[in-house]
Amino acid sequence: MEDSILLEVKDLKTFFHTEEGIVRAVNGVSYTLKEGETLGIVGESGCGKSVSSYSVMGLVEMPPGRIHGGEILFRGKDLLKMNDREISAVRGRHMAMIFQEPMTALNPIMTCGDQIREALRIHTRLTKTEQDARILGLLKEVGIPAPEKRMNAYPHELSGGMRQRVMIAIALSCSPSLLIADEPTTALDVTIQAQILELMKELQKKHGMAIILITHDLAVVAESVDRVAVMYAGEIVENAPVREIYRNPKHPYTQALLQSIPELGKRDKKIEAIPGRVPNLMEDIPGCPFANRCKRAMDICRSEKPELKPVGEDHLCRCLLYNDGSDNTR
Amino acid sequence: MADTANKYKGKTPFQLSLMRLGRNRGAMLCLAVVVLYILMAFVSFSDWGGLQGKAHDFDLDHRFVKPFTDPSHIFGTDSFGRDVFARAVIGTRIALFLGFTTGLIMIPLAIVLGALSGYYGGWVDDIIIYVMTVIYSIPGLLIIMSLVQVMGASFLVIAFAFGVTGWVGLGRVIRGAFIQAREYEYVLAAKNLGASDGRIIFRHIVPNVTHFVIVRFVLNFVSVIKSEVTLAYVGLSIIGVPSWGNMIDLSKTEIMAGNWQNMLAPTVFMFLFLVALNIFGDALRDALDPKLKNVL
Amino acid sequence: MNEKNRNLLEVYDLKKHFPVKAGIFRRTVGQVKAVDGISFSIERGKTFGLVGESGCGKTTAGRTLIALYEPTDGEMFFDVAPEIIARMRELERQVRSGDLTHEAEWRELKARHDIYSFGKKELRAARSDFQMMFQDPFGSLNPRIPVGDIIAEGLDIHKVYESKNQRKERVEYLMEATGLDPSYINRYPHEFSGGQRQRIGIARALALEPKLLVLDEPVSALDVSIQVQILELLNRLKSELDLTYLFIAHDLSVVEYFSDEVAVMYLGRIVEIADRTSLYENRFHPYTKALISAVPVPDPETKRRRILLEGDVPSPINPPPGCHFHPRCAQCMDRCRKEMPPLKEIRPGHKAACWLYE
Repeated sequence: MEDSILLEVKDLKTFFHTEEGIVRAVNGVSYTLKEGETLGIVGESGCGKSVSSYSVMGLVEMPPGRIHGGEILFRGKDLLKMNDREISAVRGRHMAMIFQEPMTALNPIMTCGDQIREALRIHTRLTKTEQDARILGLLKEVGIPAPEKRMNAYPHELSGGMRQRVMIAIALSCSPSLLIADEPTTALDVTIQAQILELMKELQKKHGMAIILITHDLAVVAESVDRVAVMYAGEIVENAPVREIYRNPKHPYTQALLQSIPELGKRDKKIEAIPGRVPNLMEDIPGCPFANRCKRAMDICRSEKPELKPVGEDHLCRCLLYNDGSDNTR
Repeated sequence: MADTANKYKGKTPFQLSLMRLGRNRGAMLCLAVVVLYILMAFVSFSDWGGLQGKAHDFDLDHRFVKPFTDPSHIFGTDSFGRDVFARAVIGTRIALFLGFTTGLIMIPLAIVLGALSGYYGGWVDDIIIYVMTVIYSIPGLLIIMSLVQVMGASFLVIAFAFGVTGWVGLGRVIRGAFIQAREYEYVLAAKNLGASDGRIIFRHIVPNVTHFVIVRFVLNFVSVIKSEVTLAYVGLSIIGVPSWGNMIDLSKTEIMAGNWQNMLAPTVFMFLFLVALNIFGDALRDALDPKLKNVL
Repeated sequence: MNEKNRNLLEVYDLKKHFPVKAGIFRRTVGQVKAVDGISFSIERGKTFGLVGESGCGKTTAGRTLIALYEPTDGEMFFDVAPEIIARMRELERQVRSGDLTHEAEWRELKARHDIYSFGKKELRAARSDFQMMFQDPFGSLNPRIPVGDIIAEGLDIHKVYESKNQRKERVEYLMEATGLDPSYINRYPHEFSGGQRQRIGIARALALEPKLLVLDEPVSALDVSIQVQILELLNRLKSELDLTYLFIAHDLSVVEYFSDEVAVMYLGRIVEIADRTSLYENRFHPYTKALISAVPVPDPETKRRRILLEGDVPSPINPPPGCHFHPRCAQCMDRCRKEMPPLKEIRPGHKAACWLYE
């Protein structure tokens, strides 16, 4: 069970058809996620990290969005080939999602308890008293003090951190095997962020679910995941175990990204900006999309698209620099 | 650098709004109808095709011509043999005059009072809110009727009456917009650069409310025209001048005898105009809404 | 003290309370003490960082400091000789103790040097010395005005140019200095990216050649790769144009990287002030300790002991008595519940407000 594959995304393409043109938000993304593993998807805004996970959850608005190809295999079955009933059986039962802004994800005119009850009603057959007990249990589990009282509170009566805990309780209500967390701590203060990340780790240990953590924050990822996938302009440019990414980053974008964040207590670290800005996803870029910002760009980078290839053990990188070396390392 | 597609380059947000509006076919059709009405109002000053004679001269030989029976009187004639089509054309003038004048009275009132109360707050706000609440809580028709009773019935008085009762809604909206805008970072930035209150209000905040004002101006025609009809129906309009309200008022005695010409012409005219204005007004609101700024 | 390391700005006991109104008669039923008595000074040419979590009052503090909000109480001296400030302190002490012989002189000095005692007109003129750069790259630029006019707004208000040409030259210079392409002078804000908009914000703030720039979360809305571009630009401009910064942010790593001296705020008060090295290495206040330990580190191999704080920041309408931090503090003592600890120097140049160091 430990090492079996839970989710496999193959060459996923999600485009948005707007009046101005086609936005290639996710342009051929592939990754695998083992049972109980935590994968961090890191990238800057507009790199497609959220859209790729929304596609897995079936939350991409269509139109304007459209999935142009690829497979999303959940325990071996392709979600994109299922009918609506089968899909909602999988998505509701085995996957759950939490969002960046818990205030907009919660219904403002329903008490927190009732929102959890709603989820329980859909996924389980419990009597009212059993539901009450389960709600209290869930609220206690996510570390909400005085859960009897908070059960009857409305979202606006809670702080941001508490609301995120309620969201997690709702997500846990169906005991999912996959939890997708989209920037779960970005709207929160550091001290609260630490609490929530700690809670997620604890819950994962207890329930053994797999987590996809989507974030722009390399520091958050370093502390909470097993594997990291770095995304740039709709593609995964590097995918490796977390230690490998930080010790031995291969892709120039990953290197530059790590070089561009100040670290507390390390004043001697030389901070370097990445010049330029992310490319327009509406244009079809012939070569590597990072080429125009890359310090090590070669002529060939502007004309040839690199492939995601192994550059070390369990380490994938999409860069022409390693084109020749890749065969030797394997 | 800037990555918007070429045809949007260097355009002001207002131009972009107009481009959005221009793409809306239905709205453009309605705009054409509105323009037609405006032209009609101007034409009604002329004597094109004997318009004035047809509308005003009694022709007792041709009383109560039924609609669609006589090609020279398409919509028929009334109890004095006047052509109701011609009278409805002249009625357009009154309708537009009322709508326009009311707008001119109402909008400055709403902007000035809404801006003062929203921007300065405090006791200024308290007083203006009090006035707004008072006007709002008395039925508008009651105020208009008493004003007309006191000042006499003329279209200018009626327009004035509509104006002083009609600004409250827009004034509230503008007040709200100003309260919000006071905290906008670019307003704070202007304040920090040493801008005077006048500069902040007129350069930075008022442009944020123009879309409310323009839309309200358009939709104001709808409410004014409807009110004029109501007013005429209760007998508070100027007798003898062919307004749509007057014609409908006259029809109430004739309709018993099966003569619905006086009802038909103004209703058709009004219906088309109001539908066109409403659709255009809604489209305008969508196109100008600053929240949709980046949706092209 | 020579001219060079003289304090550019000194602020004493700055307070901003917002009334809470309720009922049909809008009676004031309470006060939100967003900023409740903070004092600090910024040396010329330095960057002073103000950090804290959301709701601690740091943004209000920045806005009140430069009188964008009318302060409830406090004094601010901008570029005033230390002798004059000392004289005023002396006179004030006399007046407060009942000796009114020099009251007139004190009042006159205050009216002339304390920014918050300025009249509307004087304040408007004085504003060009301290400018602000805002957080929101979208909300801080008027969408209906072309960027050239946005940048020139200050020039227009203070009429500092003689010809249209001179105005254009100045705007183009500012655009170049902040890394913008001057040929975009007539473009509207919606055509620029977040990072470029922040550059426009900087150019606008620099137009009047200010001495102090208040940077209110200037990079928190930007992507990591763009953040450093903006910080580098700010650093370059600081040395080129001889600027002093007040840097307000919630991200401790960025503040530590960018500032010379750092103040930590909690519920409207400063709980610790020190130069950045001493703050990181000594961290006296329990809140500072927890805050620093909560910052995630981009290195999977450093495992450090994290101090997890219980609960949330209390409401500033009804802050806890005594030390505001005591309900969440692991080292809370009896005294902390009753008395507010003053900001005291614990080591040279390092102040903290905590009874643990009595």
